[in-house]
Amino acid sequence: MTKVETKTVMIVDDEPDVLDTVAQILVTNGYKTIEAKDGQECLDRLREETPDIILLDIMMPGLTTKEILREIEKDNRLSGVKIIFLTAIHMPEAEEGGLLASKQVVDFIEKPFTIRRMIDAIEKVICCFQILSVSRIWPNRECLRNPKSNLSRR
Amino acid sequence: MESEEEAFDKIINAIPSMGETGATIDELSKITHLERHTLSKYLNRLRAEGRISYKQIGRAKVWFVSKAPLQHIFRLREEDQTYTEKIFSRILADIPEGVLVLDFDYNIMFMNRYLLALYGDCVGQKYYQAIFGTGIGMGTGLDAHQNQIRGIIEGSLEEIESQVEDKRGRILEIKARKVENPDGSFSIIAIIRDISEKVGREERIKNLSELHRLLGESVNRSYTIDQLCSTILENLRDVIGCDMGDILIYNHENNLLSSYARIGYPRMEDRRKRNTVDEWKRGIARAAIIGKEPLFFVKGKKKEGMRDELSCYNYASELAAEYNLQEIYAIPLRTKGEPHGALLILTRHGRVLSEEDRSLLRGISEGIAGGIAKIKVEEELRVKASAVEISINSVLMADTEGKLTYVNPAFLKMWGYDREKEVLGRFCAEFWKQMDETGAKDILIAVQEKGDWEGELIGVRKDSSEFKLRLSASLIIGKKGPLQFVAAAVAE
Repeated sequence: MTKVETKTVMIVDDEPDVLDTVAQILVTNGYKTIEAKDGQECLDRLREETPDIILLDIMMPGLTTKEILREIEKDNRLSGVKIIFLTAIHMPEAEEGGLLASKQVVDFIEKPFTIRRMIDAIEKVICCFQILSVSRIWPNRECLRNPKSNLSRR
Repeated sequence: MESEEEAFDKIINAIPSMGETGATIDELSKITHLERHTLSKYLNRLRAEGRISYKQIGRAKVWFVSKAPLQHIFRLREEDQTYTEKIFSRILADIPEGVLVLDFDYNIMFMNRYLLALYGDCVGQKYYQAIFGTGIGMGTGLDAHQNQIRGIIEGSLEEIESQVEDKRGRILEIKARKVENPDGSFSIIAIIRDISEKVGREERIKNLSELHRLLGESVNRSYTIDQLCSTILENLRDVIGCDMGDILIYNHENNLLSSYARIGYPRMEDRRKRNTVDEWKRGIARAAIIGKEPLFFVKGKKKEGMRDELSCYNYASELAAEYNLQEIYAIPLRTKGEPHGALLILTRHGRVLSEEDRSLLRGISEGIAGGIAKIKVEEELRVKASAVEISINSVLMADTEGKLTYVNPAFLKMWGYDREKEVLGRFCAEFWKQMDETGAKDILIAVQEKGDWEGELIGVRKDSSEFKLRLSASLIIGKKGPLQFVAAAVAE
């Protein structure tokens, strides 16, 4: 029997209630979690641990999202980490701000969202990890696209 | 026959010979042997140049030589000026604001280069006529300023400040005060600034703020996009004064532009013609949206942004010919990342849109696009809400404590209630129990812990009868954390 590896999800959000709730729900759903309350803590924790997925809020105090993305992209060790935005800003604004340019960003979830939407997004990434382990090719970002996520570009 | 200059010198030399008390015209006539009429003319010329001044004593004027009149300095040739006079006259002449000296008869005694550039040489002319093209008390809106100047002359005011329009429509800011000359006579010295541009800018900001205010009001009050667009066009017509206008909205799903509002167009009975005109307008709007920049068409000219848009230019020409238009201004309506449509503003022959008007339209365009986007989202939400309302499946929402905040009609029907009021605010646990008789509250705990829950329950109707149902519930996370639960239920 193949042992299913527990995936690690890092949650970065400056709202403690969001952080706690999402972390607790992910643990209940069988994930290992790392929590960070801002960009700096996120980068500090990333020096110690390598998650599979980062749920990243946009517009937190301190480091800007672009700065966080730049640091992650610079670190070869983190090249396989996939990022899902969990944010109250709208997608066109994020696109305008160049936040979707990073290849590591694979989905965009606008708040408010249902937990089902978030779990689906995470499961899709994991599904792609499994495809990757077979094909060694990371599938096109479109394969992660949830019908509601609007990640396609105009 | 002596020259004017010789006559002037004779007068200037004659006045002090009569002593410190000054000289009357009769006394001067005797000394200079000039006719009273000629002498009066020369005296007025000398006074206009600032070389002499007078004091009114009873009915007589007593003349004095101005010892150091400002205007006299500027009348001197530079080689005749002292070093100090040279520096002083250069500074005053080149000061980047207007300097004007008047006597108490409203004669302009001196004006510096700033004012010379605006009005030409008006020294010796009457102030109101030269600057405002009017006389005293002509009721031209200058009354307040004239009263202030009179106040200075009569001694009731020391200093005044006013904003008035000159004869060429410039807005002038005038600060004036009385100054005593060394010979004891008085003058009025005025600092004049052309503030037309500043006032225009303030006016534009005021208009833009007003348009934003009206736009905010329209967005709050509008229920549909058509309603919003019609109100926007009416507001623009009031503020800009355009003749006609359209708002065309871009539909991302089918990639089409549709007219949502128009204003000022004459009625067109011919349906085919109307379709053609609409096609022209869509062509212009499309070019503006694709180019992401406003397009400005002036009849008979190929201009801004129309360089490579031949078909757009043709559409604009056809439209201009159809409605006898002078100008067409097409502004794309975009929020940060997304095009929403275009605004077309049209003026009839003989009327032009000023740069200020166009700047105002560009300034308000993102606000209009944002308003349209907001109402569009609201409309979509209303459509989705309608789907929930007519759904045959029960839908409910509860806050984080489990109190119902929304139920759809299918929920009321399934649970046997007539009105929402009967159920809203009650705990959802009151409406079902678990198959194994454990508390229904466990479902909420499960949703809080796991994020969602799906399973079978026993529903409890208003009349206490029971039925089997299948429920799917999920937690909703908002900006600040968990917001509420949403659940859908079907009877089995």
